[in-house]
Amino acid sequence: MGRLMEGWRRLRSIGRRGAVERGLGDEIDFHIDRQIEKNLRAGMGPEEARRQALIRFGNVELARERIRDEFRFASIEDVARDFRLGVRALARAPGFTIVATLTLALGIGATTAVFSVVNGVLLRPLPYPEQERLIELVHEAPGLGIDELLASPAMYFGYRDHSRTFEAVGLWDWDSSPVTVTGSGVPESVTSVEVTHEVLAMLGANPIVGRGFGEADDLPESVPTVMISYAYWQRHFGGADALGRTLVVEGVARQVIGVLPRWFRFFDYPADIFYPLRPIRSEAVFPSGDGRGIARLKPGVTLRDANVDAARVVPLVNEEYGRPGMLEQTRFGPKLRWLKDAVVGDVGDTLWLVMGTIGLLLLIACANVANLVLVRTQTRRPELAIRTALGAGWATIARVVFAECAILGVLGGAAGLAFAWASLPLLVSLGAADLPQIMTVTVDPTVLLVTAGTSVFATLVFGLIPLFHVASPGTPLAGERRGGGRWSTEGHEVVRVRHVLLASQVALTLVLLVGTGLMIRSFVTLRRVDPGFREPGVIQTFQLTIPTGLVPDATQTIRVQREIVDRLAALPGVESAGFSSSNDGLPLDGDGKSTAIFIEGRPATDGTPAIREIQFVSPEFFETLGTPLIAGRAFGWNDVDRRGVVVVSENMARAEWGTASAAIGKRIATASSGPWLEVVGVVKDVHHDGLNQPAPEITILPARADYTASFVIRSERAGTSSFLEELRNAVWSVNANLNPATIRTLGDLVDRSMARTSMTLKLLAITGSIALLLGLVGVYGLVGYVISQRHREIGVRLALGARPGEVRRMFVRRALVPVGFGVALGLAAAAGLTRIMESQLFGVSPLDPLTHLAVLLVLVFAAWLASDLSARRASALDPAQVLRGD
Amino acid sequence: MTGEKTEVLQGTLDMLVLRALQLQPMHGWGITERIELWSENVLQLGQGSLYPALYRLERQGLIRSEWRVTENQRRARYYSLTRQGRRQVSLEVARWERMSRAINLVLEATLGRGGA
Repeated sequence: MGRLMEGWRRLRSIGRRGAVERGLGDEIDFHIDRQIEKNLRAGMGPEEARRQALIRFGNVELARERIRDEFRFASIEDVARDFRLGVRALARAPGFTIVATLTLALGIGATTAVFSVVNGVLLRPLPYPEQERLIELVHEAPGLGIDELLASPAMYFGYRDHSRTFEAVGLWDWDSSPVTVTGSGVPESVTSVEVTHEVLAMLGANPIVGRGFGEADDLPESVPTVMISYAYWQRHFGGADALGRTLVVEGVARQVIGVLPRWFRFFDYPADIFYPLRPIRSEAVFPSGDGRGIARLKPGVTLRDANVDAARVVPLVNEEYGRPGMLEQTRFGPKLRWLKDAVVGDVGDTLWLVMGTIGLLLLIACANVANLVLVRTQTRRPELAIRTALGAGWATIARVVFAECAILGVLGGAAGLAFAWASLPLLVSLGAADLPQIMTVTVDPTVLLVTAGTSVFATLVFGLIPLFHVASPGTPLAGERRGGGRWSTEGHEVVRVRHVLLASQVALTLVLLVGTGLMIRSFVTLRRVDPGFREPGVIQTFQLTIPTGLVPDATQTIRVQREIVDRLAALPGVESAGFSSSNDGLPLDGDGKSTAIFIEGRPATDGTPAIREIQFVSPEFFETLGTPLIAGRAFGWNDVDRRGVVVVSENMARAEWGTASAAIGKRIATASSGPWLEVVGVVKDVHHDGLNQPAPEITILPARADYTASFVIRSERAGTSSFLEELRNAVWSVNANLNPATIRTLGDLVDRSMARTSMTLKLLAITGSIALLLGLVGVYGLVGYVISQRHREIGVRLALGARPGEVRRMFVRRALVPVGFGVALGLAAAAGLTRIMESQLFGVSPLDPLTHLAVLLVLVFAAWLASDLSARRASALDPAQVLRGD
Repeated sequence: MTGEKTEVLQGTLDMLVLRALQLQPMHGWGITERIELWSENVLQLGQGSLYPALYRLERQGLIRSEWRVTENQRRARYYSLTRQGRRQVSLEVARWERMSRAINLVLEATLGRGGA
């Protein structure tokens, strides 16, 4: 208490320092003048009076200096002096300084880097003006078993006409992307988005050149228009005047009306051209999910208000575009969500998990540095003892120790920032496949602030632990002066603190390693999942859209596609080739179609048939994927022409008819009115929605008329540039205006499907390894320290005949005690903490005993190794020398 | 003993200063004069230590200071006791009396035996 008051008074006096300095001179002058007057009265001459007065007062400067001394605490020059001394002291101990700085840099840098990702992806608002008022139009139809239905032209028109809470509504779609742009040389495949005229304006993408879309652009009879991205403007037009130029998009001549600003990104999609979606009111149907809607809320409107308002609009939409009774049957309703949440999705769980593990890593780093500082303070005891002897009090010693910590904190923070900055590209590349907005991740002022905060926090953690210990009353420093520490065991107190630090370090490391272990198990389990296809790495895929002007009508598209498949199959090294109609027919492509499936002789319960995924494929499609046929036969080309047949997945066959073979010959339909399609084959289940998702029950029809198709080719040469070259030539040999797009292997899709798990795994593995390394450094250091403190004891033991091995084992055993405590603590903590990551795991329980056991063994073995190595090094003593050294 | 001057005993300076201020607020010079007067010129304050002591006491919250104009129209810093300071004086005086009595007892006892 008294100390506290004292500190407060000293602090308060800092502010008055200037006034005191000024007053000091006056006061001394006043005093001397009085003395002179007194001397004069005593009869001295003026000269003599002055001289005697000054003699009497003594050294004026000395007095001033001593008064100033009373103000020595936390004043600016003192802090500066402490820092100067600290810097000098650290410079004399480069090993300590480097290790401590690097450890801190690792902790602070990792925290900064991961936080910059969290900041960019989760915290920072979307880069659109007033993004906090933007929502995505999502709906649900529990009556159809659909919990998330996107927007549609009907809903777009409905909200436009009737909404009271929306300032603007827009609809967009990227189903036709990429589009083929022809007309200037080689046909070009360009990423595209179709938008209604409101969308770009809502996102604040005001053109830097030309005009934006207006209502007229959405009218069917107006001149077709297009807006281009800044990048496309540079690439295609060389930045020259592009207004009024014509781009032939999918065979339609479109006039360029504007160039979008450079900063603009359409969410995470690097779209290059934007053209009007032109929804047609007379064709709008309710309910349907076709396209995605966004809206800007009026100021002050809450999401709840908007949902209530939307629920009011839905019946009006049904009246205009639906059939009576549809609303009751589908139980269609709004499920609006903030655009930010829609963009970020469920990645928050993963990122916060990673952030949490990095926090643990930071704590481990702090514990390590605290340990280092403790050791250093111990080795400086003679110096600190001399300072104490010379009158340095509690505060002075504390300042000496803490100044160094503060310098280390600053160094570590700066190095950490550099480390974060350097590692950010790696982090971005790790997350590129999976994280939304990842390209926007940078070190911005918020991140800098957090880095500074982290450094201060770290400094407090590793600075205060040794500080309180060293400077606490009853400090061993007092004893140091007396006994010279000759046979002292004064390290005990410190060793205890270090044991606690070590145990917590081990506990934290164990938690991180268990997390890593669980991710590894998930990854392996995921790898072992049979996706329903074989060797995805040798399956080349690409999408191809036939420009509408190229074939007289849609029914002719299959002829062109078949011709392409034939050419592809004839390429050297190609085993087989096939295609799936439309651009969403590949496994794991994150997209697909669903429809109601009616089963013959089985009236649907409660009137609505089950919604199932549906796919349209060419002959050889499943052969190319390597998906085995379980029963019956696959399609031939005559099935494509004659229709009337269907193939179902194994799980669907079991669900409806009990066994795969029982399905053959049964009939199903995609509409209540038929026509009935005969099941001719059953194929193995394919994981369409992700390896960690169950394979959907799927109905497969023969390829249908569609301008777009996804091609698959099985060849050992998949992915090689020569193969891609031949592939393009084969396509061009059918028609020079055709252009393959989104060329990738099925292996790429598999990787993408595992991206989240593999990213989490990599990040946790990096964190876990660093933690293990730091933990081992901690064990190594502790054993080395304990032994160095007891050199003499060891010397005596050895002199008395103890074998070096025994001595060594004694120290190892002692070091393993805190390790054991740490392991126990860590296991308990892990049991609680790993539950948080349950959603990241696949096929493994958070309490998986194998993982825990493996981690435990690794950790204990590593700790034993580290302490044994350290003990070997430190106990390699010559007893005679040690004892003579006294 | 007259004419022989003594430096103030270490550790007693603070007590003497506080005691002097018990009478009335004074400036540094006044404190010097007052102590010399009371001690019949035996105790001389080293000025180099008086002012640091004043600043120390002020920082400890035992005295406070303010600038005033003296009767001769000079600006001077006047020191006065705080409430805590007044308490401290009685404590220190009591302690000193206990101590000096004890010392005296010892001295007398020693003398007594020596004289026997």
